[in-house]
Order: sequence, then structure tokens, then C-alpha cells
Amino acid sequence: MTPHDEFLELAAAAIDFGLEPSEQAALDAHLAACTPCRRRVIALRHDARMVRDIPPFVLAPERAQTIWQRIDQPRRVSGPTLRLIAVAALLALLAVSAVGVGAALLRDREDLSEAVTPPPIAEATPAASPPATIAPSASPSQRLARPAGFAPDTIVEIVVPDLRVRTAPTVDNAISAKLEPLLGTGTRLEIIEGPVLADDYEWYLVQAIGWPHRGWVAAADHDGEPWIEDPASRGGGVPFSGVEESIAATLRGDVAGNCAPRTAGLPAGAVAGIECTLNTALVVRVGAYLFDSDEDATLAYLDRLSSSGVTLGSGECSAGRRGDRAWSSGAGLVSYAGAEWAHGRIGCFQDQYGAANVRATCGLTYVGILGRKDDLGALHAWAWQPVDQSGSGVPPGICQEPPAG
Amino acid sequence: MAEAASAGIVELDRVAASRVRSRAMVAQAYEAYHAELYNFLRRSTRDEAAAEDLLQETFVRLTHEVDASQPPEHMRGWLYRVATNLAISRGRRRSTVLRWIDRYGRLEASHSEESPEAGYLRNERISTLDAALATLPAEARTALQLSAEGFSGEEIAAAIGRSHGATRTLLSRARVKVRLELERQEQAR
Repeated sequence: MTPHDEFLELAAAAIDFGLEPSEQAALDAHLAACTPCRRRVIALRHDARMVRDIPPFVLAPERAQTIWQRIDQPRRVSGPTLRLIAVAALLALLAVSAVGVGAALLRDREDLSEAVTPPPIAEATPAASPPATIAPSASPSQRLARPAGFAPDTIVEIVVPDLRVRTAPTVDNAISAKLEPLLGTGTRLEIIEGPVLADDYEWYLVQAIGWPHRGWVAAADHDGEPWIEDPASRGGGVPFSGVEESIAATLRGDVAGNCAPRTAGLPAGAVAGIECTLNTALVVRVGAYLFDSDEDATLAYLDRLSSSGVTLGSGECSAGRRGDRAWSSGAGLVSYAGAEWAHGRIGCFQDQYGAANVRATCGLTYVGILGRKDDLGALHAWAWQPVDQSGSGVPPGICQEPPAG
Repeated sequence: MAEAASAGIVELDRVAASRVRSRAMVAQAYEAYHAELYNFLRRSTRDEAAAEDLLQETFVRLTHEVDASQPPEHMRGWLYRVATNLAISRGRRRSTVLRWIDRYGRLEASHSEESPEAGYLRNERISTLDAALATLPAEARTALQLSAEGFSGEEIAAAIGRSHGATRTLLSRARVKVRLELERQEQAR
């Protein structure tokens, strides 16, 4: 190695490490006297910049999602789930029949071999005898400590196209059989007892009016989007509390105009909720839920999206790609950098039933939007684009800008 | 009995909440860093499939840390450290295999992975630089890539598990080797 080579290495080392004063002085002296070495050192530094500036390899969104699913999949059978199973076993020992771990198969049309068909309707009254497979009523210890969403004898209506009735309050097919057929929108159910919490659902024992079905139904999905409702609680006749008014205030005006308080089936951790009905062909329902912190609201958002296989860069309606614009109550319209909690982000997906879903965060509020049709892109655009694009100051998206100050 | 069952339900809630939070932590880290880590691993390994595998393995290890209630204090640095170790380990294993292949005369295997990458490169200068980087051993190439990602010399030393002095020598010789290779290619035109 020549002295020139040694000084070239010294100059290369200076790119990543500080040189000792004596080394720096020797390098400077050599470069002052060696023109070819100066050129090489300049080129060396240029090489370092070029390495930084090589265009990045981009992982295709579908590949990123596939890898994420592989990463996430083992978690469903690892530590936390094993603990859940252990707790479930404990509860089973305590004669609790309601605990199991499984997917949300409540409205699954498949697997009819496990279904139990009730006897034919004898008359259009709820007088049909309960099938022998109906589980015993839940013990008092199973019942939720918090106030029940629906009191016994309340008549509720199904608000989704297909609702599964089961013989026990769990999605575990080994414990709970499915009653056939699925019950449709508008079917009335009489609440017998409940709620019972199992598999992250609130279950009620019901008797279907006009049908022989007597069994357990879940009141809402994991986000609190209701599957059954008390018709008397709908509409604008129910006054808002202050906190519910504050939720409505986070939504843009055309959404916030026809909302009602929601007291049952709130997402875990939510302190209050409202539900809004819109007179559009596209939107079925908007649910907005207030959390104690924007972090909790965003956690609910991220968990909902990730549980549906939506990750960063997973598609046109993804959870937000680097560079996506989002409305931040603190900073206005910003680009998502990928490292901080983002407000006003919108992601969308189709659930396992093909329904269009959009999820968003508006600061402390988590918003779920359910679409009537399969047109996911249109629902996403509805939630994302500004109401008024004429520059009136209305922020883009479902989130209303909070009042200044 | 009732108290025990209630406690069980509370435990379910607590565990479920913990699971949601840990999943969200890993998901957020994936959102934030998977793109740059993939690029880093692709450059380090020069192999698309290997980069995807090591990206997955990096986040699986993060999952284990989070599940064990040991989330990294500095997420980005931790992810790069794990990815670096995986890339270098793979490079060492691959180097051994390639030496064995070379000895038995099947040299074409050592060049087969370069052609797909060339399609992504924008221009000839970058292509030339990339070819020069390809002459480096995996460890040196990984160290240079860490530097390009903004890590300091000390951070690179920690990531590759070498001393300050050894890392300095590794990096400076790698830079000089790349420079000399570029000059050689320029003279060959």
C-alpha cells in the first residue's frame, strides 16, 4: 500500500468517523501537496452521496401486505392467544359456556353441515318451542357489570342483511350450533336476557318474532357497528349529552345532522358514541366514538384496519401511504410521514361480506362508515373529498375542523 | 364463584387490550419502516426473495420482543440492527456456498442474481456504482448501506457487532475499493 493509498483510506474513514487532530492535520497536509489525491477524495465523497441517492427498491403493495399477513399470522396462535385459551379453560371450569376463540362467523353462510334448522313455523307468533340444543341461560356471574344495552322484553330490530342466531353465546362451533336460516333486516327480536360478553361480542338471548329462532345473537360487530337496534332509540328525538354533541362536532356538517346517541355496543375503550343516518344511496351508517386519547382512537382505527388485512401501502384505499395527505387538527393538511400518530387518516376495505367499509380518525374520535354497496372506491371518495371544494375552508374528509381556540 | 368468573372476564379484557396494543405497535412499526428496511435489505442481499424473507424475519423478531413486554426503546435502530445481523449472516452462509461452487466450476451461479436488479436502475452511472458495490463482501456492503441510511460510524459498529477500529477499517477500505472499481470501469471504456 502506497502512502497515497493510506491517505485515501484516511479520507474515507473521515466520512463516517471523526479523525484524530493529528490524523486530520496529516491528511490536510498531504492533500495540499497531492492534486491527484484531492481529486480522488472529492470523488470518494461524491461516491458516498451517490450511494445515498440510488433510487430505492420499492416493495409492491400487495407483497408488503402478504409479508405483513405472514408476520401477523403467528401472533394469532402465540402468547396472548394461548393466554386467552387458558383463561377460557378456567371459565369453562367455572361452568361458563360462553368463552371461545375464533373468527367472526356470525353471519357465515357456509358450513351448513353444522347448522341446526328450527322446526317449521307453526304460526306467526313467537310461540314456537325452543330447540333442545339451546344452551342454558347464562349464569349471573357471566353478565356484564356495566349497564345492559337492551333490557329484557325490549323489542329490537335486525339492521343488517343477515344475522346469525346461535344456540350458545359464542362463535365456537364446537359449543354453539348455528340456527338456519339467517334472519334478515327488519326482523324483530324480543330480548330474553343478556348481555353476555364472549369472543369480544355482546350477546343477547332472543326470541325471533314470527320465526321459531330462539337463541343468542351478537348485538354489534367489533367496532360497535350495530347488528340489532331498538327502533325507539333511533332518530333525532333523543337529546344529546354534552359529550355526544362534542362527537357530532368532530364530523362534517352533512354527516352530523341526523345523529342519535349510542349507548350499547361501543368499541372497547370508547367513552361515548353517536350514530348517524344519511339519506344517500352509498352510505348505510356512520358511527363515531369518542376515546380518552387520540392514541386510543388511532389504536382502534389501526386495529380495525389490520384485522381486515389493510396495511400501509396495501392499495388504493390503504391505511395511508408515506406522502398521503391527512387533516391534522393541530397542523392542518399535512403529509403523512409514517412515524407519528396521524389524525384524520382514512383507510378502507371490504369486509368478509363484501360490504364497503371506511375507517377514519378525527382526533379523539374514531369513525366507522358502512357502505350500502360494494363500491368501495366511491365510498372512500365520499369520506375523503371535501364537502365544499370551492376553498371555503372546510377541511377535507369526514372530520370537521374543531373550532379555533 | 361469581367473583372468580368476573375476574376471568376482566382478565380477558386486559389480555385482549394488551394484544391489541402490541399488535398495533408492530403494525405501526411495519407501516413506518418496512419500505426503507426492504430497500436496505435488498441492497445488502442483492436478492429480492431474500430481502422479503429477511424483512419478514425482522418483524417476526420484533413481534417476539413486543409479546415478551420488551419493546425496543429505539425502534428504527433496533430494526436495522436485527436486519443487519440477518443480512450479514446470510452473506456469510452464501459466501461459503459460493466458494464451494467456485471450487467445483459452477461459476455462473454467482452472477445469476444480478440481472433482475439491473432493470430497476435508472441510469448507467448508478448501474456502474451498483456493480462496484456488488464486488464488496456482504458485511462491507451492509455497512456502507447503513451509512447511506444515515447511521453514524458508532451506530454501524454496534449494528454489525464489531469494534470501533475494525468498523472504521471495514468502511474505509470498502469506500476505497468502490472508488478504485469505478476508476477501473471508467478506464475500461
